[in-house]
Amino acid sequence: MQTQIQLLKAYRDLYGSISFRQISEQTGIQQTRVFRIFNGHEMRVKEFDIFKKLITIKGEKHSKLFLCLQEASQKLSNEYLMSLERELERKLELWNLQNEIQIEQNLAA
Amino acid sequence: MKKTNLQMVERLILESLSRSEKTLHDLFQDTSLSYGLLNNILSQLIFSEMIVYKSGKYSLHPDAPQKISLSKESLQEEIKELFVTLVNQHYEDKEKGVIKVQKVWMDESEEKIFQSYLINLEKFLEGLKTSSRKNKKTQSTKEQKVVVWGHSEYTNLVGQTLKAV
Repeated sequence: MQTQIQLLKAYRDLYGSISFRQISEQTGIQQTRVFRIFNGHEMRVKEFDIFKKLITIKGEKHSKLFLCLQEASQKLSNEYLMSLERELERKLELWNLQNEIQIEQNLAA
Repeated sequence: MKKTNLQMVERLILESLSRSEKTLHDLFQDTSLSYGLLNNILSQLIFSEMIVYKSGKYSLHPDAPQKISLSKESLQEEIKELFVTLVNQHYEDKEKGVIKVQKVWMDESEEKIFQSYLINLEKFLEGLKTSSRKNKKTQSTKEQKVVVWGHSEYTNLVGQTLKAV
């Protein structure tokens, strides 16, 4: 069960607070089953493999992105890096607008 | 609170409200944005004091124009996003997004002809703006056509890409 908890935490860290419906669409696991898994029910081996694979895929994409950013920060101009930063900020803001997180942050502030 | 820059969806809603105050349903019809997304954005815009909500209707905050940043950086980001989106739209569905790129040589007289075509295009579009003000009530904000155009010498563009990094 501890392995399952760590796996689901790793999944959440990489994919964020997406809804159970979105997780169901992504994994092919029924929504009610997704709800039960995230509320403590034991995963089946097949379900474990699905989440593990999604973590690996995202992890690989992330590692390349972070490597590129690291290299870019050393080689590219400050002006370009700032424009890249602005672009990423805009994309994140748009993501938040679509995913209601911004509202919760404002209420908490 | 000054907003650093506007997202395209936020600008669409503000443009819609600049024409008249609207209910949530009116905004849905005028913009085609989903109710969920509209609710999120409208909450944000109220929080940023760009719009107000009164008696079931949304309208522009009187200070809205002052709150939008018109800095070079913010305008640049918006226009860049417009171009990128148009390119992506073109490659997704050529009928919904048209973009054409041509590289040509022009002598002096051809340059003058080209410039006169551009002036005519600009006058035509300005004329449409004037005539569309008369039909303000019947046309929805989402139905507007977004037209972009521009030109530069090849060497200037290449130089700019090299400078950018």
